[in-house]
Amino acid sequence: MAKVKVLYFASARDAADQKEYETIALEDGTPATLQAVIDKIKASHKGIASVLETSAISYNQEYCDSEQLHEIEVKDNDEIAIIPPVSGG
Amino acid sequence: MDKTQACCNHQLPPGYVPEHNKAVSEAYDHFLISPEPLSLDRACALVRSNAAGAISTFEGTTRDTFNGKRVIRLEYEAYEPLAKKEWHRIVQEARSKYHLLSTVMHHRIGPVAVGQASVIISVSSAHRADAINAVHYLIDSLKARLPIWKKELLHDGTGAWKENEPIDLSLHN
Repeated sequence: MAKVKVLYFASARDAADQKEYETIALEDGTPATLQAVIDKIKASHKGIASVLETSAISYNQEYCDSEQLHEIEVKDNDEIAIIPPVSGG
Repeated sequence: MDKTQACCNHQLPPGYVPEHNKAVSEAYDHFLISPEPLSLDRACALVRSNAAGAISTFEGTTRDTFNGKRVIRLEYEAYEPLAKKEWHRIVQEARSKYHLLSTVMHHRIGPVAVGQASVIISVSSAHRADAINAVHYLIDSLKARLPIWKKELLHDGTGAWKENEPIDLSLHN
């Protein structure tokens, strides 16, 4: 079982019951990919799918591209962030 | 280094390379995300240098209107570790395009009232075209790439997370 930390920013946090972060655990037997974490997030938070559609994902403080979602195997204490469209400056 | 700049077209003598730092370094590329009010004096002091002929600065401020509606304030948040990494990449890109001495980027988080500064970018260089053009590149890249978000609080009580307009970064090529 892999337990990872997921950070929610901006509109992603609104869709995750105002949680700034939570721990997501993947059950043994499921492939422990980044995509599996995303799927679990969608199952836990009903309104978050539309935010995810326009969000980037970061893994251990680096941006990911969409191919990496299925390639990256997550481990305990990995940090994943949901990055909605940005508006700095 | 491309001789024609996006907005400043000042030619330097062929073969002359102004003093500059090639690689991004925390020694002279300053990065701060903080809830404290920003200071232009503090930012310029960090980049001031006897080798500089120019310091160019940008200050982003909270505007009192959006689409005809009155804005009360903006509220900012940031994913700081990723913002710092991505900012260092952006500064390294700027250093490969322009001859720069020092840079500073200070971004405020939390509430920023109308008229107040949300971000300051300041750059020093031996000659002014590099500093002016680098500031333009840096603020455009910040707005496109850094994991920072603002929520707009309007006078009618509504608030919404903003999304920056897509920016054509190719004008900096």
